[in-house]
Amino acid sequence: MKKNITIAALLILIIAATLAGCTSTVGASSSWPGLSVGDDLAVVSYGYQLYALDVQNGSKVWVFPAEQEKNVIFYAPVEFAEDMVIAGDYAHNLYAVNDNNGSLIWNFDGAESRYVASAFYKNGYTYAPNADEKLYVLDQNGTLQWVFQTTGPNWSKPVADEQYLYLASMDHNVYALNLTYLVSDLVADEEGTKNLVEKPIWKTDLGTAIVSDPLLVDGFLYVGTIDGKMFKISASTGEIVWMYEGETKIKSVWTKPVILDGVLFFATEDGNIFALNSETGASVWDSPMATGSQIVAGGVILTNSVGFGTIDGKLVIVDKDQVTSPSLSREGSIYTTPTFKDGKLYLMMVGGEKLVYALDENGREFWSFSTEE
Amino acid sequence: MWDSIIIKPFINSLLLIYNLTGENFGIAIIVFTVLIKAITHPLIARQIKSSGALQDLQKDEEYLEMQKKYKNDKERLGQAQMELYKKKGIKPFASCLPTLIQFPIIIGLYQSIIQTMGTAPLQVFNLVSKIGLGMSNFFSFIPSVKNPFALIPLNNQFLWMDLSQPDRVYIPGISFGIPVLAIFVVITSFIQNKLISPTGGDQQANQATGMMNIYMPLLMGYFAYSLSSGLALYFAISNVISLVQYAALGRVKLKDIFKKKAAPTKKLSA
Repeated sequence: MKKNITIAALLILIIAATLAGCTSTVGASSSWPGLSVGDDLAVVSYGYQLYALDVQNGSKVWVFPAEQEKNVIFYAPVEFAEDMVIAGDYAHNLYAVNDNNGSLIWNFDGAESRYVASAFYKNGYTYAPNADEKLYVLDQNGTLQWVFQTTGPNWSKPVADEQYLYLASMDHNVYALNLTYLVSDLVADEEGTKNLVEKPIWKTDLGTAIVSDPLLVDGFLYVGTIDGKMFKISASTGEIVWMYEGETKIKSVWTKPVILDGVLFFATEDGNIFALNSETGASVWDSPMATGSQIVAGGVILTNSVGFGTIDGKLVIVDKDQVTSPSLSREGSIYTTPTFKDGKLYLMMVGGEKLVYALDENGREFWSFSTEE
Repeated sequence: MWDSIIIKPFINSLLLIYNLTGENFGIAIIVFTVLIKAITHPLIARQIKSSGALQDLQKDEEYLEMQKKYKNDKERLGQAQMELYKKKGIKPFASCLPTLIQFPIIIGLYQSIIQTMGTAPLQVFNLVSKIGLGMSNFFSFIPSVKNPFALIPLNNQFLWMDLSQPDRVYIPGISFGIPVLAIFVVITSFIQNKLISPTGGDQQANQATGMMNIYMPLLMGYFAYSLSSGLALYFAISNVISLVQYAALGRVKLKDIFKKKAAPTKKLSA
């Protein structure tokens, strides 16, 4: 009797394990950590807390929230905003935290979905894109000023010049908006509150979703799309200046591009690095540089070269003549865009021994940090 | 290799169906499940027929006599059973092979649905890396077929559900959400198990079967309750199609569903 029942119980367990195994990604990490480096602090957004580190020695200055809370999960990089850091979580909260001690200044809970992208701060206003298909604009006190409705989730950090704010959305469009709107310029939302921008200054449809941050340089936006196209768009009119998709179709673009000496560098999901003449969109190299590993992190400008982090844990360094320097590597995967500031290169490694490394350009270590410390 | 042979073709097929069915992921899951079940129907039919023949054999007089005669000699019983299988033209393992062949397809279908429903960056990154243009190029003669990348992000809304989230229906006056789809999965799994479980075996076998009939639907219900409703929808549709397949092959006797099993044969071992 026992034998048959044991077989039945085992069968149930095997089926349970198979189903659970197949769905293991559902509960696993759903994004990669964020890193923002300011003058004094490097702030890591990873999991249940924000970790503010002293850029000099990597020591922990504060964590937020002080105690972990079940539904508060951070992945979006924080934005430095005068004496605050602005951080969006994966529930629907946007926090302003005192950058000295990590205490909460204000909390905006008006969004309905997760903050995937970093907020953008300018002239006392916080521009916070959310996956609920809205951009929320708040004043210095965290009071909602106006909302812009898109038709898809917003996973890209906005950029701005002195005239407009630019938002790239997963609804395939890049939008230009005024930096501020008077209440008289706004229309009522579904609940009758007059806080909705009726229409953008311009919008340009790029055909597929935009998940990477756009780059704004000298009046032009450089934006990559998930179907493997790089666009140069006039910031004043929204007109497409050029579009690059390679001679043979290139893979999706998740990286924010960088420009060094007139050359635009970006990488594709399959690990190829491209160098284009930023004026004309023509390829500078005969063929892209294959790194051999997937790339999701944006580029970083070093002294005379650029670096792209790969999922197999290397920072591949190349200049505009396609001359490479020895790659920097540490244990783990690079998903987060590295930062190079004041001679320090900040690398974030997922799944390695340490989470953050501060290195010089030759890979010598200033300090490292792990959340266990 | 698993990704190249199973997951990528499945994901791209799912996206094509999504594209052709008005960009509704719920409908795409239903159509895709129906198609996969239709393609694997010959295997399932073989399995159902073989297991049905084995079940019928357990009521055969010759079989029952043999059980009595060799109850203390397992080796001889095994030989006699094999001879009887041969005589009746039954291949006892014929019901296992189709199951083994179907298994990777079912797991692949299941994984493809999970991966296609991703709404967070890492999930969408993994999804996008599996999209190819081959399928949409092949079907480009159909005017509505789009570049599959243009379909991202997918519309996960179906009826009352966000397919990427667990299903709950909130009714005014009730403080908790009702998992409608999970309840449906439990009921259909129970019916399906009742219909396919062998009847007339010995007491031990019937007890084990009874245990499976109770715990399996509960287990499936738990997964449907706690995982995204897109998967629960897949479980539900899959169960319904299986019931239709059993009915089409004449193996459904509705009166058996809530009826207690026939009196078991006596326990063979001492």
